[in-house]
Amino acid sequence: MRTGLLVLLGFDLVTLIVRHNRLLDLLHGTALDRTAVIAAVLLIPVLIWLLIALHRRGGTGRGWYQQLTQDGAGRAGFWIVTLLAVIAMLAPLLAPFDPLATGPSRNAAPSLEHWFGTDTTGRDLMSRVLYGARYSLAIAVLSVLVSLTVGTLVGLVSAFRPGVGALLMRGVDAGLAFPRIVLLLVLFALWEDVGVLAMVTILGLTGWFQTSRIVQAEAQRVKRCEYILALRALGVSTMRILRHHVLPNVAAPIIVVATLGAGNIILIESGLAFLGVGLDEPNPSWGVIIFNGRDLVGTHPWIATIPGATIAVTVIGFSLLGDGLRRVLNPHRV
Amino acid sequence: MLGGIGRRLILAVLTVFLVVSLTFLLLQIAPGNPYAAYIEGCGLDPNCLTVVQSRWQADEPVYRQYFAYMDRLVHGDFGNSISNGRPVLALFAAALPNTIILGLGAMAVTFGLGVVLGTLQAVRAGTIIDHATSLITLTAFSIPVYWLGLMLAAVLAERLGWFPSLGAYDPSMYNQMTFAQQVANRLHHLVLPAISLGIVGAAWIARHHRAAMLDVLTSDFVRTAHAKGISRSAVLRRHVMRNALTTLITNFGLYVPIVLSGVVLVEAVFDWDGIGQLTANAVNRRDYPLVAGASVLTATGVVLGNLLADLLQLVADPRQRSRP
Repeated sequence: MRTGLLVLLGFDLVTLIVRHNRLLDLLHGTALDRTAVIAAVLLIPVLIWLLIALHRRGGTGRGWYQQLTQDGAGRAGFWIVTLLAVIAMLAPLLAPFDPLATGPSRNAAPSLEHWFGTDTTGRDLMSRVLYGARYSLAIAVLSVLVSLTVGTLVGLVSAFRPGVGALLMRGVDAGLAFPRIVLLLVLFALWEDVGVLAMVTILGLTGWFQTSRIVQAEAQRVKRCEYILALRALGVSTMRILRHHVLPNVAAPIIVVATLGAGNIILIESGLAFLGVGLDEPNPSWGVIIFNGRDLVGTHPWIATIPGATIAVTVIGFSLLGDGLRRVLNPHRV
Repeated sequence: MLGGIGRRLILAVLTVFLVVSLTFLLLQIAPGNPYAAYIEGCGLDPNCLTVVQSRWQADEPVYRQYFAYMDRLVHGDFGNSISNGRPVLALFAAALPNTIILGLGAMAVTFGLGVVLGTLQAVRAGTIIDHATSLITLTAFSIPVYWLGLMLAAVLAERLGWFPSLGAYDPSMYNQMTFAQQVANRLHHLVLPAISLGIVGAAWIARHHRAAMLDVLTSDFVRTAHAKGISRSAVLRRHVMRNALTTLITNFGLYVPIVLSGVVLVEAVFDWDGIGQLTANAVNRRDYPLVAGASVLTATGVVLGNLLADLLQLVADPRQRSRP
């Protein structure tokens, strides 16, 4: 399994280098945005590898893969997400056309040349959907990383500094109560032009509330354990306790929340694009493609149908993977 | 019991206060002057400029502006929309009925379908029906709301012509209709938006209701009830459903923010003239007073929904009443 991932990572690098020039042209936005997307795509195999490493250290008798794929649901989730990651990495190799290049055949139905048809300006939809995987996964992975970091920090602080914690948790309550799409709309009203990095920052900074709750609850549980009291009596510093005893306990529920959260981010990002907020033309994001096809859904249904179905499959994949991981890692509470 | 309510009320007010303050802060850090649009509207008229500055206290320190902002909000003055000059509150009041109709329709679908599916799954737990329904709810929960709306509109409205696909009612003939016809017309328009918005929630409710029902089904008093020879349906109705109700009410409180998020998307699909459309358009036009109003009013809506859920909980669950 590990060699397989290394091979994938290698492929990823090769496609990046071989198609480097073309790739940079294809990604709309600032240089920073392009770097962010590429970094995220590179990050995916690393994350999968980390997941394995983390679980190996847990030292359960059977391998994580066997446990995860015990039933059909876990297996399906794992393979859907893995396949999407591969598609995102290899998009420049797989895409038959340039996703931004307009062509002569406009609004063409799916055919042998254009498998998914073309859109109003004659761009190949299959290429756009394949590149869309890059955007969706990159934004999902990076925003989840941001919200995990913030959420974990806030959760730990509130568990170990009760005074500040009460205040922070009030804020978290308010954040959880606020409809996320409306919150995001309000935030996006402030920006004229939104690139990938701004998206990631905003999505990440509005998504950590649940994580912090879970981390706080779990950290508080661990804090009261007798072995922690013993460590304290021995004079072990709080930082050391946090790093070596609290974080490993918190890791399992965090991984599950992160996986489910990634699916949710993909839904939200596409929803915002559908409202004309966030990423826009000519980025081949799935939400943008649906936005472009929304008025043609009666006459040219393929434009909006295919990316929507892709989103659905992706989110199902993340949900199944999350449920499977919950079973394997067996967190106390999620 | 009353102490609990009082505490919740204080928390609710605190939450709204936090959101209002945050909104003010966000508008302050927004690029450009938040009152720029008003000042631009003045042209070269020096009097108008003075009026704008005194109205918004634009030349005063930020904390004074903050107090002034709070003062205006408390008196129900949310300012005027930049794009059409009308009071923000009046615009929201005009849009609210449509959104309430859509929300109620969606809730009917969500709780009706969700409870039926969840009960079915719990009663037939572990069978093929349970697994198949799980798969369906998982899929429904993963489909983008707006995309489901588009697909339903494409097939049921544009292809088959069964339902209208745009608007909350038919504006061309609405005024000539009798009241009964108006209601029928509105309901006809409501079907597709309510289904697209409600199905996601239904999947979510089904998942939670299944778990809650299973919890109760395996408890001792249910076994006793069966042992007493009470019929299966009576046990379900009187013992299991009643106890699963508290989870359902908790979920109602959690559902309010979800439905408000969905409303924005579904209203965009069906061109439904409600709060969601108003908010989305305000964002696209950078109509800051309208955006701020949307933020404050939505937060208030969520807080009220949660309070309602808390009150319902007290009615439904006697154990909560005795708690300090």
